[in-house]
Amino acid sequence: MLSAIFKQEWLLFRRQKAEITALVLFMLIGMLSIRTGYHSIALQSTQTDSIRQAYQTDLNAALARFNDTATPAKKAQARHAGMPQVINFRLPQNVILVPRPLSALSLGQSDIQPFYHQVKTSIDFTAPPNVPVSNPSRLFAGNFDLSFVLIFLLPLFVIAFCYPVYAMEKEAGTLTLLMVQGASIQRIMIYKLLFRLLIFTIVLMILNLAGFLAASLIQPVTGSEVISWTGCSFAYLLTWFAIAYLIISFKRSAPVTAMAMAGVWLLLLILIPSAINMYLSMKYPIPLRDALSSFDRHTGEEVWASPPRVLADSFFRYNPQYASLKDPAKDSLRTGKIFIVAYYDLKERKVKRMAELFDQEVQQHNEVAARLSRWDPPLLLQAAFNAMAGTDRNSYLQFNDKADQFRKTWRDFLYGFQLTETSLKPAEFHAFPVFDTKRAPVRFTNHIPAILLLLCISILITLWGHFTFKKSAI
Amino acid sequence: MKWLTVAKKEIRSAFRDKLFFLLAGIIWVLLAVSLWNGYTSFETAKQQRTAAEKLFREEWDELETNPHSAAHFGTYLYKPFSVLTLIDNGLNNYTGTAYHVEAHKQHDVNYSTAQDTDSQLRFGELTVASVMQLLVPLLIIFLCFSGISREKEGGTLRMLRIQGIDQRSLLTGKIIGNYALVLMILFPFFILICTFIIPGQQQNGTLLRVAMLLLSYLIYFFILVAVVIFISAFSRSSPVALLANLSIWFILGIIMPRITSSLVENGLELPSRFELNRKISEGYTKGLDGDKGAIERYEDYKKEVMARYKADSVQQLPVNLDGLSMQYGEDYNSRVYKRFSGEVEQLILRQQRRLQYLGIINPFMAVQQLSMGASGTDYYHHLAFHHQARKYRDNFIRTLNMDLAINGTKSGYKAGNDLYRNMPAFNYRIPDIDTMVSWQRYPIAALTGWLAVVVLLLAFISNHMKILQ
Repeated sequence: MLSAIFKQEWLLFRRQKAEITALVLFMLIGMLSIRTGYHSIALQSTQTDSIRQAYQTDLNAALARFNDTATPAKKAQARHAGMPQVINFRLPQNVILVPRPLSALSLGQSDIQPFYHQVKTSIDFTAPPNVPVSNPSRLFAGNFDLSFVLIFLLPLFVIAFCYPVYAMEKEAGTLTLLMVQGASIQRIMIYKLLFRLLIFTIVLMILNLAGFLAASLIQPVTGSEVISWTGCSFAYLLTWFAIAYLIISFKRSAPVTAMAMAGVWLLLLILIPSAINMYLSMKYPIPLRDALSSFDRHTGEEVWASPPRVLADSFFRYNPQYASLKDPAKDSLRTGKIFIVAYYDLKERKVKRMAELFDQEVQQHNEVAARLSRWDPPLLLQAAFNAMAGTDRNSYLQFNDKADQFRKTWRDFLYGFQLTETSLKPAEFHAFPVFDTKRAPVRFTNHIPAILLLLCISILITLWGHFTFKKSAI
Repeated sequence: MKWLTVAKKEIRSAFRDKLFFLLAGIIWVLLAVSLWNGYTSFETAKQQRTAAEKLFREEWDELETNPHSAAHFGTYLYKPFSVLTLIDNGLNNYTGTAYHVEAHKQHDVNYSTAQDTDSQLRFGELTVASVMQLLVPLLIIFLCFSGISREKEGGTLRMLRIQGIDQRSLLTGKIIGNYALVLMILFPFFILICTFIIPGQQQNGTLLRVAMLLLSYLIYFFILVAVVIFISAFSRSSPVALLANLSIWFILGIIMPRITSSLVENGLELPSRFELNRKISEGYTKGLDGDKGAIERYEDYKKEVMARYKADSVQQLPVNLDGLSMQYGEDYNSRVYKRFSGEVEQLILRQQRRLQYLGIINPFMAVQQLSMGASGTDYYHHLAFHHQARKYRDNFIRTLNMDLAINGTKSGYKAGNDLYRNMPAFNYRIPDIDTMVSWQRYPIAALTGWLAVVVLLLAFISNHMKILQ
């Protein structure tokens, strides 16, 4: 029976020019989205290259200063060229987030989060982050990438293909005929939907494959990434077929079925996410940074006014690795080598505590968002795609933490010279610490919960549909 | 007045249908919830801003320090939310909230809500505007999709013809009848909006903005009712009409804005943050348009000041050179920033213009832009805030530098508290209605054009096409 229905459906499908055109259109939109996503990430890679080139130019200029003594001013610059403070000012270290290959398919927060930091020994909590320059209207409209096509458009095409499955047979009068022959209507409907599922699976695989090929131009795509992306997208497709089956099981006319399916789409993709955002903005509003900025300024003044001895003691207590450099006489002076580093050290320590309080409020907002998003398949899938593409907020927070770790390494490197009052030699410029750009690999196991959740939702909806199908009259 | 008969019949039959009341109820609930959301968000934002402004003002009032230290201390300016954000929050979540005023540095408006949230925000928010732009059209589709196709399927078209109803009366009656139904659902809400917004409005032009906002939506809904009725007239059956209308809704409301804004941005690429910052930094240190570098410029300026005051040394000057030279540097920095950030602004404005052109083919985009514009939450208003904030910043820093220049000849000079207390507060002036209309001329033209096309189509179809077969 399965093969007979598949054969008949195939014959019907080949005759349906509208459906074939719709599928081709869907594929074209999918391909365009892959191109747009790839373009964005390729542009980011070009920008990354220009950052590296600019650094190389600055490094060469810094090295050239050692030998340029043509004028008195340049002589002075040559004398100071190896000073750690000058290097810190002139050669901030670039810390760059290398995009993961799948970021081309799911741009996520990449258009609003900084992908590079310029690291100095101290941290400025009031400095604005290096967010990409963008048109806010574009941010408001959202990204056009493969994840958008799969999350928003794929269900629409599933709806367009599935809504008349039952009503068409009924209106053509073939249902009664089939029933007279003793065929199970429910089974026929399931087979018809399975045929459409097969078509969409093929379309999905083609799009995913094209996406992986484009993504591999950025970096090789790993097997784990392929399985995670494919698994999640397929589970989402199943969810929509389960929804289609449920709505068909009510055995209503084609317009009512289409309206109901469109209503579910509206609910899952517009209304529930909007309601979640509304709840979050009312219950967990994002705080302004005013208190942090004010605290930073006051702390700066307060710490600056502290006696040098007190600052030095604090510095050596928290940085025991420099204990051998203690010099009680010099450490009591504002002009001493310790004063300025101790000032930044203590100020950072104090302001960081306040910044963490601010971050906790923001974190709470996002944790609640993540918890609520889990129960809406589109939000769940978007979160999963962004996580495997490394474009979700958490990936950027991890990058920021890693950048801060590197800042400490850079600070320790320069302090090794600054606190011993020695200058760097040109050769030592090539021994600067290097930021490790390697990112944690995507693990399939991390995405199993999302896939399982989508499958569970699909199974539950299918069972509901199964039950309704039996109950509702033709 | 045969069209009136058709319109009355349309209203009577809708009142007999439970679907009408169900749809009206859903829209009412959504509008009420979104208005409540707008109100609480507005109140929260207002409280946050008032508290922040008070904090920084108090800090500033208590200062007793050297003017240059005060300039480094600086302050923060917050973008005030107009009461119209109750209706349309527009780009507010994406444009940043705070402007940092400090010496030597020119800033963008930073810290947007979107930076602190994850991707769920990109799915959209439930605002009065989103309900009006996206969900009321769905209501219109569900109300009108079978407006004429139903008459064809039920065989009632012939009866109408026998009653002497011609094509023009049928189409006009259907459009007016369904439009009246939409108004019946929305008018109470419009009145509610006015009672929320109008009391206590001192801001110039707010009432005109509200009027413009409501008028745009009224035109938008009329266009939609007419288009849905036209599609119904030419569809083979009601299901076909429904599918066609839903497809158009998805394409115009969901797909097209994303695709076009991405393509427009890709077509007019913006520089990277690194590139922009570097241009600004190098523009200052190396000089613009063949000017000398920062150090040489300072030396020249110093010589010029010495010559102006006929002094042989800095100590002989009756003014503080640091104050003057810092202001000289600020003026130059302002010029550099204006040049390079101005280039970016121009690129974004060109992108905006292209998006506005698209309103000509997509009334959803036209009304969306117009709604943000009237609510003061579009890119143009954001830019207006940034420009005013920058102007305030430049005057703020100039006041401090000039005080240092005049009074800072004594070493260890600290300005009296009066200087800081008398520093004027920042007051954002929302652009007047004429300016707003000039920014939104393309969406206004697009919506008016759509209205004209719909009216002409009505005449054309009535006179030249056969739908009463």
